[in-house]
Amino acid sequence: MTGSEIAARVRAGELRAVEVVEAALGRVAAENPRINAFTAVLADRAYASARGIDACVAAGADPGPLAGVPFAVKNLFDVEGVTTLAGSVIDAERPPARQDAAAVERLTAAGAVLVGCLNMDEYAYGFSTENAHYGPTRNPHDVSRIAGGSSGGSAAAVAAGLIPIALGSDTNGSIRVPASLCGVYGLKPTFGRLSRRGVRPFVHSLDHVGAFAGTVEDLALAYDAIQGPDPLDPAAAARPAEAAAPSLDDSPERLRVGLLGGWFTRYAAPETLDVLAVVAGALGADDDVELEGAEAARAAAFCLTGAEGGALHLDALRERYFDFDPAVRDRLLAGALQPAAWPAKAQRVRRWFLEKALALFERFDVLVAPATPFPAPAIGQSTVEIDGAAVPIRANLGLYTQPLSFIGLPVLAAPVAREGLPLGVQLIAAPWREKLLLQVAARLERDGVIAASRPGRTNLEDQ
Amino acid sequence: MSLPLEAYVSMAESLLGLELPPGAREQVAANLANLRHLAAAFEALALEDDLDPAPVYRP
Repeated sequence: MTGSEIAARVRAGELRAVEVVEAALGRVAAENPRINAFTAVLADRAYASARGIDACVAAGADPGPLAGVPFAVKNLFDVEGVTTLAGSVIDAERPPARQDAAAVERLTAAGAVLVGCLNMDEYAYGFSTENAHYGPTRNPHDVSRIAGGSSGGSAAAVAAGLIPIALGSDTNGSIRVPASLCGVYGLKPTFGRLSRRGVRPFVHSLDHVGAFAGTVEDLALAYDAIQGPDPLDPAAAARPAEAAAPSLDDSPERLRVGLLGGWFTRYAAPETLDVLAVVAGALGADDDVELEGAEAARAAAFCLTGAEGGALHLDALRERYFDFDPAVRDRLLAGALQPAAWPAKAQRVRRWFLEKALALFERFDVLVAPATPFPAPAIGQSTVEIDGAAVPIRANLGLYTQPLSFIGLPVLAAPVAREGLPLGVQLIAAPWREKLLLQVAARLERDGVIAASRPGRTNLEDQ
Repeated sequence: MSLPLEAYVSMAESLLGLELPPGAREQVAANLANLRHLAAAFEALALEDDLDPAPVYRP
């Protein structure tokens, strides 16, 4: 059942939220040992919330648009009474959070039921969720492969059908990369659209909060529930919420769609180009366009990430070097030691590149690009062969996502209906146009072009 | 001439009060070399002096 189907039945009194929670926890118990997506299961809280929703329905009150829908969060979101791990053993020594993160608070207020916390790369610095402390999260479609990262637990939990909705964060691609590799939907909204209050920071200039779901409607419902200004988050925009779920069927008749070429197809595996062509064809994207400066933007994002992330963790690096994940600590240190000229210029490149992108949106409503250069590699694999050349995996998984989050554009990662391992594309819009992205995705989903897949079945069979 | 990155790391390490364990300096230098390579992709861009960076601090 999708999240919207669960909510409809719970709201109608046809299904009790407690039964939904019981079923979700049963799936987690059965499947999590295989994929290692959850780092905490919050059964007591989940049952208490579910009982509250059932009581609300019995009393004839409104339990919210997501009544009884189970969800889980990347373990960098604060959850009251739970220590926020951020994928680290250092943070595991911190006291439990005193209140929920804003996004958790808002989803809960909409009736959704938090069932657990999810695995990630340490401090969100990675694209693979091969966490040295908590183990790798495995791709539900092939457990010998990575789920992507850093929100790998979130994508894997949705892909495995354990929960319909999950929350994640995206600094350089950490929602879009795992969404692509696990074959689910992921939305990274405009920078500042969703409150980051109560979310462990990584790179203040670039951190975004977003959601994963198995259908476009569920993604829109989750997004709508979290939207809205938050005066307690300095990065949150003072914009009113613009509900997307009620108008999913209103995709514009005439849509100007551009297909990003150049940087956005460099290192792309043949199957990546195939899925791109399928989506471009469905949207009538005849124009192959170049977004000037993408390579420089990606490099600038890389340097800025190292500088801010390294500075944030400098004290811990001084005191607890060996308690960091080896794959993370030396990159953080190198970032902290950069000459100041690099991150300072990177910030100015950000403005320059945003202007280049905004100019493209005068010609196009939506741009399309691959989400990842290739499907999920094997756990532990360091290179992948493309066109006869060995390409490093860790450095390249975010190749196409980094330039876009760098300038805060809204991007929806959409799983393309295909045989074999999942692959996604990025649907990209001008700032604040998430609603348009969700409408376009809903149209592609209705037409059978994109669809989340379940392990053991291709998404073509789901049609 | 290539920069002596390990020497740079060693000096910066002391400036920041860090004490890297044996072997770590080489790893950090290798990552720094990667950053230097990436920075070259945008350092050469000629930007106007009045091009403000994107983030605006609002007190």
